[in-house]
Amino acid sequence: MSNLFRDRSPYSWSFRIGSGRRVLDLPLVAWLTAIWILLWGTLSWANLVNGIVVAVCLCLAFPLPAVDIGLRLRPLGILRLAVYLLYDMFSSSVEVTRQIFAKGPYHAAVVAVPLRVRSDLMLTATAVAVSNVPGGSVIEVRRSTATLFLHVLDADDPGEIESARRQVWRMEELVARAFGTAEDIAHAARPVPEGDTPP
Amino acid sequence: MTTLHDVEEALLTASLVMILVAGALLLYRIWYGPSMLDRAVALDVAAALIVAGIGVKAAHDGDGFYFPVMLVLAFLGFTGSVGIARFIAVRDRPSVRADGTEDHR
Amino acid sequence: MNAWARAADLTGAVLLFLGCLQSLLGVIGMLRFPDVLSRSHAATKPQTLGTLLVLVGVALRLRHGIDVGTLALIVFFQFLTSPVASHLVARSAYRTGQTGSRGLLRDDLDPQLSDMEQREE
Repeated sequence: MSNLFRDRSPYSWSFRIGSGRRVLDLPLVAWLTAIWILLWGTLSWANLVNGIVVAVCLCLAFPLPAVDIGLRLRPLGILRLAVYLLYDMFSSSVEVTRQIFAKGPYHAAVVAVPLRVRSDLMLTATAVAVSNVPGGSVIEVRRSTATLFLHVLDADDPGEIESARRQVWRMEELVARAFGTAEDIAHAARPVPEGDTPP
Repeated sequence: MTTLHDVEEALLTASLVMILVAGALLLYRIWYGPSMLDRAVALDVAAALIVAGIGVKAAHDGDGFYFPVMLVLAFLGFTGSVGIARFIAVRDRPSVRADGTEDHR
Repeated sequence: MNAWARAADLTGAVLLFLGCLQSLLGVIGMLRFPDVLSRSHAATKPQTLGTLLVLVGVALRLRHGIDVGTLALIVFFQFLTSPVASHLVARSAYRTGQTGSRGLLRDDLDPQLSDMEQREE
């Protein structure tokens, strides 16, 4: 069962209708049906059937290009990522709250963090996850070099910058283990680029 | 039993009061800016506050009648500030005081 | 009404209280921080945590399967969409030079942006 999730792209559960580019994407249909039922607020057969009909009609009327973005769902990795994100959200909120009531002046910094993963999906997921690390918000993403640019509050302390960078790399590895292909995980397991120089 | 109920009532009322105070403070930020981007950020926070306020009401009444409203706000609440950041803020600078320093109120 | 339900109700109320407190602290941060980038810190992180706590509190008090599903969906979308807005605002703030009156202690992005502009010319 876990093999089903680990080694196949969700996009392998889709079939082609007719000769055109109309593709019925089963995970998408299931997701749309779930949202339909939640919006109606009652779980009944009528809602389920109607939801499936609407979702199939939508998928056929507005076909999406069938691109493999390299998404894999790994339940254990997702669980670990969720627990870590929860812990991280608490600690970053406490940190920001402390800074709110600390006496200024603040010295902020913009720090470049080169990532080790290359795929677009991993880059996006890492950037979303990183928006929650203590004192880091993403200003710019350079796709060609896979570099994130973070705004770090309270950068007077040089350890703060270094710890923000470490946290991004840790997050990157967790994200790759939750959603990445085997190649992404191998990329993320490489040693971090040492030194303080921007690439 | 009744004391427990009173404690819960008090907690919910305090929550609602805090949301209202937060909303009032947010109005100050929206009013004074100083730049359009500050207002964009404040707009985002306002959506989150509305979601939280509806949540308190739902918890008090014990029904999920307004959940679709929360869902749509969580879904589309970011579009307003994205629009501001993308199309308005480029032409916008914080106002400059008489002595030449920027006004970061 | 058994003891478990009462405990869940009370925990839900406490979580609602904490979530609203967190939202209020975030708004106070928005008033106190000196520039847009810092303010967007204060806006995103405490707000996401506050919304999460409030919605978990509501879920604990309502306890119907379908309501909990809707609340989980709300948390999911909030978590997914709020970084989008904060990133675009931060990007726009950086590019219009609103990085605070005292400037940045260190800036890795500026040389790269200037490089790119030179190459385009």
